[in-house]
Amino acid sequence: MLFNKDGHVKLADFGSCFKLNKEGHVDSQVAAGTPDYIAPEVLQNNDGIKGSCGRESDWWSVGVVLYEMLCTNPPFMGDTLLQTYGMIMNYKEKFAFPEEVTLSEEAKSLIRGLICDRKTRLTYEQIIAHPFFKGLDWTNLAKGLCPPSPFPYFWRLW
Amino acid sequence: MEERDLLGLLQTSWVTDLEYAFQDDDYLYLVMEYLAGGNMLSLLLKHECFDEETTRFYIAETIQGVQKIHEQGFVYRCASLPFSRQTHLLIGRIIVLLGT
Repeated sequence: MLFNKDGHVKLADFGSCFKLNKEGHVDSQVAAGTPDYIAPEVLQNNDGIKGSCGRESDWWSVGVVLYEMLCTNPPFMGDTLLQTYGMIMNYKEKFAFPEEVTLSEEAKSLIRGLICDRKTRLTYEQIIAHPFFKGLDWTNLAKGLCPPSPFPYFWRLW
Repeated sequence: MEERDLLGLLQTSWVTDLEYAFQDDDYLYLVMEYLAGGNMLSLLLKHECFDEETTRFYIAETIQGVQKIHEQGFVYRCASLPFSRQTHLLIGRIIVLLGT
């Protein structure tokens, strides 16, 4: 996730993107992606069960990013890859908001609506209508002003 | 190859523009636009966390980007959504992405 010179978001790195089949799912036995952001149903694909993931798996990842932006660390972060996987699979017990961070009820509600079972996870339409985004002008985001001084010096990239 | 196809399809301000694609016997080369604004991980490391107003803006833009990818029939696959701790794409203007 990068920024252009004005500070707007640009998604990059599509090395593990997949095309959806006619049912709107990806059939794959290989879990891809940065571990911390993977949805449990994507991990389950590796269990030998004919699993699949779809658009909803991306919204889980967006939930993880949202959590990280507000709470500093991602919600599932073990010492090892295996531990992180375990935490994601047991997210119902492992997921918690850090005590030292004060979040609005709207923010918590949106995160809980994304980091949850895929059947009840919010859809795009539900996400943009969520109270967390109340008053946000979705149609003019790209034209709008960015938060102050996102990252002005490109050499800090490295 | 999925990556090249998708980038070719996506004409949106939320996704890195693909300028050229070419290949030799070993590699596929994707030439992306140059993004001078830096990456999200560095920004977050600098600030530790964002306030809700800033978060609202960045996550809203991310959501729009992901939705555009979905509209083209692809999933981002959780992949390296924002804070990928791996090396990012920007090395000069030419990025070698897929070894064959």
